[in-house]
Amino acid sequence: MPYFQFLPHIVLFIIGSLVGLEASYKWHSEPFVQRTIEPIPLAIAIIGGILINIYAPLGFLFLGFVLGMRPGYGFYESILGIVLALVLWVIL
Amino acid sequence: MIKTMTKNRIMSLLTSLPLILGFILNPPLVISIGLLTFFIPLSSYYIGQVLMARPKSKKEEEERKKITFTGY
Amino acid sequence: MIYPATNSMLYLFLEIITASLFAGLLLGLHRKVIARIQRRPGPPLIQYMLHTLKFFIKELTIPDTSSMPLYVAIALALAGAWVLAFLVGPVLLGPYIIIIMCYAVHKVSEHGIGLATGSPYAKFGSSRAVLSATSEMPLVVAPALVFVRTNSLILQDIINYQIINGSLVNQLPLAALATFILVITKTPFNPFGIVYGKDIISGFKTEHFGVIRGVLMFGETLAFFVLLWCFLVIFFGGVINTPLTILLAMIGVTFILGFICALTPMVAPYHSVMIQWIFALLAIANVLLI
Repeated sequence: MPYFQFLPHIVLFIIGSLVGLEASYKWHSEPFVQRTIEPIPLAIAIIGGILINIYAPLGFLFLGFVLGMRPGYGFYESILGIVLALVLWVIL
Repeated sequence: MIKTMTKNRIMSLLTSLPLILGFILNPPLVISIGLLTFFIPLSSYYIGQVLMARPKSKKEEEERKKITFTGY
Repeated sequence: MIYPATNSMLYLFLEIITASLFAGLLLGLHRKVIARIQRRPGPPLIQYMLHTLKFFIKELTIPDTSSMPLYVAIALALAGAWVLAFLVGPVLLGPYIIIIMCYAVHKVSEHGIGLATGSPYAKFGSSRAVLSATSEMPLVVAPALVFVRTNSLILQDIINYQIINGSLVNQLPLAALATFILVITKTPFNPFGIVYGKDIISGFKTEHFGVIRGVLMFGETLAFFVLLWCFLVIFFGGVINTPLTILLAMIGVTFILGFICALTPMVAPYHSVMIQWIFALLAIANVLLI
């Protein structure tokens, strides 16, 4: 069975998570305080949710960025991105 | 120390050579399964040994000695 | 994307890379689910994979008490066995019996890994590995029942049978349950994981660090993939028989496994064996019911 057709999806997801982790630790070096929706991850999540229906590996790169952010951050953004992706997939 | 390093380097080349040759020459299925089963763990072991023994950069040495406290 | 020819060695190698990366993500998801249930934020999804890669550049020192060739060789044997099982099972859809043999090699390796170090903690782990090996009855019972139904243990034949006659889980629900218990025993933090119990530090892996630990963890990710695959394809093969459905179903089962592992306490060694035997006996009772 050719599983490796999903290799680009997985590899790009991992790269996105790594970049997201590094970036979010740059943005937030303070102790974890509270959850708020931030504009940049939200934009990335929305781009990912749209792209995943056009060219899936790139969409996984952007969604991986949001999902892979520092623990506690990017939670609502990633949920929004996934829901958007699902809604678009149902519509299209 | 230097002696073991060169030995590991030679072994990592020797053990990953069958894999690379296999990718190019396309052996029969049974042989390729055997090669992968035997040489993937072995070559990863020796490659890891080589990576482990790499010379540490100055920055890494400083990082190692630095006492870090980020507040967690 | 250019696909290499089926059954070329590059194809097989790419399959191994894909499966180990995907199973690494699954194990990360598993930890994340457990953390969310326990109201912690939990580590990022790629944490398990980062651990595996980290060990490849960490320093390896070999204990004086270890018996040297065995110390390295048996850890590599574990990874090799799962590479073989993965190639024969999920990739080439070959005989199921070879996967069972590889599982047996895994159990022997667990024992040998503990003994080869000479450390008392690792020896506790290895003796528990022997104890838990007595509880692997579901592994033997389930394929026997599947054989009675399908008259074949070649995975391709089992899938074809299910495409025609419907999934085997409808015919052998209790055997499916027993195999599910087997999958649970291979996940981290599971209630039956007496081998990895924190009361004995890290079980048989206590003295394994550096590259060897990396290779061991690579083998364990492949093991998780292969066992999940076997459970899904053998009992739900009527519905789940393409790569996409298999990978999606694996994510679903990992969620369920996360819930189970988060909500159950670790059982005592003898209880662990007894519970698994009960499920094996239930699977045998399945024959009488149908």
